[in-house]
Amino acid sequence: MMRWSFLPLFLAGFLLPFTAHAQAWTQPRGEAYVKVSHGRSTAAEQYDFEGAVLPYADNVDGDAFFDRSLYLYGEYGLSDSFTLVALLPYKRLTVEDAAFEYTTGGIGSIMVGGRYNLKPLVGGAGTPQTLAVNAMFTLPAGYTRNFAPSIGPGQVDVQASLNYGVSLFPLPAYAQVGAGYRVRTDAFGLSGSTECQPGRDVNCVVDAQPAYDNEWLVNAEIGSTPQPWILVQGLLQGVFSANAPTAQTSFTASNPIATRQRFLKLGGGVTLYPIPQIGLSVQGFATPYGRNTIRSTDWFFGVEYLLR
Amino acid sequence: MTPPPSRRAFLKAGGTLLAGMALVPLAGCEFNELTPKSLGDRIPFLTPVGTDEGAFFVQNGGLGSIPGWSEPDLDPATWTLTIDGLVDTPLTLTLADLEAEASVTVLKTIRCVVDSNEFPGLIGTALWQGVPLRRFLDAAGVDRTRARRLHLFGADGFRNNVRLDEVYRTFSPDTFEPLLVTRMNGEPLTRAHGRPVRLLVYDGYGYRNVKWLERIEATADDRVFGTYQEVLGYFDEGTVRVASKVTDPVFAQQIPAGQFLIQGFAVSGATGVTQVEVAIDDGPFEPAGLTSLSEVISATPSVAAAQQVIEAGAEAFPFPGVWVQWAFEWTATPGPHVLRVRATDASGAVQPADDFTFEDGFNPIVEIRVTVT
Repeated sequence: MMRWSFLPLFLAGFLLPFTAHAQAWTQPRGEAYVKVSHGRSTAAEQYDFEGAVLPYADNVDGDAFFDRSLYLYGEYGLSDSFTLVALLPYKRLTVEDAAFEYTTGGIGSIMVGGRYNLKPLVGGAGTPQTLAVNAMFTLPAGYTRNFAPSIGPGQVDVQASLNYGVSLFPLPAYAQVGAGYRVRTDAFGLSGSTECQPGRDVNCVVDAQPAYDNEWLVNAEIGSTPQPWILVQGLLQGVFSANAPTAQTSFTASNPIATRQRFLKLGGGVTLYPIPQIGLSVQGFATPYGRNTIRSTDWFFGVEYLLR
Repeated sequence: MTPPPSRRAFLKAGGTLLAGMALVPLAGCEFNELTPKSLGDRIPFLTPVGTDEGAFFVQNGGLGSIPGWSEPDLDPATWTLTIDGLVDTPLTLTLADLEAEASVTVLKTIRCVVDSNEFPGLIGTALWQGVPLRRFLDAAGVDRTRARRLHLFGADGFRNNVRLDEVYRTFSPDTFEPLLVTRMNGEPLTRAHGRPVRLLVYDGYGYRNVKWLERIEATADDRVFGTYQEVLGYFDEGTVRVASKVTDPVFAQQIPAGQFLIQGFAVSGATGVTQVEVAIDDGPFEPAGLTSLSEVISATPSVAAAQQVIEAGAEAFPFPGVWVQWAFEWTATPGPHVLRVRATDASGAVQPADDFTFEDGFNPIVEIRVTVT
C-alpha cells in the first residue's frame, strides 16, 4: 500500500500554529497581533482507522513524513468587538515510500475570518470571563490537489467555534476552552488538478474530489505569565470527523484520501518577550490519539509582534 | 472604550496582513519533485525471502479492511485446516497430513492488485512447494454437483474464494492446479507469508492466494465472496492482467549518455508473455529481448525443479503467471527522455495506453521519465 500511505498528509495542513492570544479574546480596536511561525512536523508512524499504530510507509524504517512550513498569522481589531483573523501558510511536504522521496511546496489553504466578542453574555466588562465566536473560511490558493503529496485537500471549508476564556487573577494565568464545527463544502474550484494515470504516474493520484467528512473541533489552553517576559502554555487541539473513520474512508486504491480522521494533539509552549511588543515562541505537540491520521511530532518556532 | 486607531497604525497593521495575502499569486510557484531512493538494477529471477531490501514484498489484505486485524502467528505443530460444507466427510487436516502427501514445486509470480508501475513495488517470484488441493477435496467427498465455490478463510479474518470448476479442470503443463503451499524458495513459509499454509493459484493476484489458511467451505452459493471483492471492490476473477515493469532505470533517474541497457520484467496471469516493446520519446515501439528459460535455469538459484520447467519445457517459456525478464539496448542522448514499455501476452492482450479502472488492477503502458547527462 505504499502509494496509499502518504495521502493522509493532508491532515497536517489542518494543524495550525497556536497563537499566543487565545481565541476567546478579541483584539482591542486598532490593535494587531502578527506572528510568523516555522512548523516542523515529522512522523514515522500513522494511526489506522481503528487507532492501531502502523509504520507511516511500508518498508521504510524511521521517519517518512516531513512537513516544513511557514505560517504568517495575523489578527486586527476592527472594533472592540470584532477582530479580523487571517492565516497564510507556505507548505513544504516531503514523504517517502520504499522507492521514492516526494516533495511538494507552495502556498496552501489560506484561512480568513473573524472573531466576535460575546463578553456581555458572560457578564460584560468587569468580569474575568470572556466569550467569543470565531468563524473562518479555508480557501485553497490554487495549488494542485492531486499531487503526491498535496499541500492541502483542495476544497473550501467553513468553520465556526465558540470559545470561552477566563482570567485566573490574582494568579498570573488564564484558561480557555473552545468547540466548533467544520463544514467541508465539496467546492474544489479554488484548487487545480493535474492529469494523472493511476498505476503509471508516480507523482500524483487520481483527482477523486472525495466527500470529506465534516468535523468537530475542540481546543483548550492554559497560560501563565509568572514574569512579564515569559508566557508558559499548555495546549490541546482535537479534530473529530462527524462519522467514525472506517477502512473505506482510509487509504484505498480507489479513494486513497482519508476522508474521515480523528486526532488529539497535546503540547505546550513557551514565549519569551525581550521587549513587550515582541515575543519569541516555541511550541511542541505530540499526537497521543488518532484514527486515519499521522502520528506526528510537531514543533512551531515563532516570532510575534504586538502592535499597540 | 478604546480610542479609534490612528491612520498610521491602521495602515501598518492592515499592510502587514495584506502583504501576506498578496503572496497568494505565489500559488503559481508550486513545485512537485520526485527523487528515487535507489538506482535501477537488474533483479534476480527468484525473489529472496526476508526483510532485506529487494526481498519478496509483504502485503496483508486484512490490514486496511478487517477491524482488529493482526498478523497471525500460527504454530505449525497445532495448526489445522478444516474442509467442510458440501462434503461427504468433513476433514480436519494437520501439517503432517499435508507433508505425508507427494508435493509439487512450481514457479509463480505474485503481484498485488494495487501494485503500480512503481518499482520495486508489490511483486515477486518464488519457487513454491505444496500439495494439490484437489486431493483433499476428493478425500472429503466434495459434492461436485451442488457446490459452486470454495469459501476460503484465513486465520486473520481474510476471506476469498475459488470456483470449484477452477479446481476440477484440466491444467496445461505450463500452469498448475490450486495448491496448499507450505514452502517458499525451499524453506518453510515465514509468518509474513502465511505460515504454515497458504493457497496458491497460478494466475491470480495476491489476494486470491489466501495466507494462514484454516478453513475451506464448499458451498452452493455462487455469489461474489471475499474481503477484497466485498470490502474494497476488486474483481472476483482476480486474474493478473498483462503488465510490465522497468527495473533499470527507475523513474526520475539520471543516467549517463551512451549505451544503456533498459531492463525489466513482464507478466500475465492467463497466458505467457510473448512480447515486450520499448519506445523512446515519441518513437515507435521496438521489441525488447526476452530472457530464455535456459538463462533462467543456469542462474542461481536454479528453477530447474519447477513442475512447469520439467513438464512444459523451454519452448513453453514464459509461463502463464510467471514473469519474464527483458532488456533493450538504448543509445542514450543528453536531455530529458520518456521511456515507454508495453507487454503483450499469448492471448493478444496488450497493455493499454490508459487504464482508469482500478477494480482489475492498473496496467497502463509504463512511462519512465529520465534525464540523460
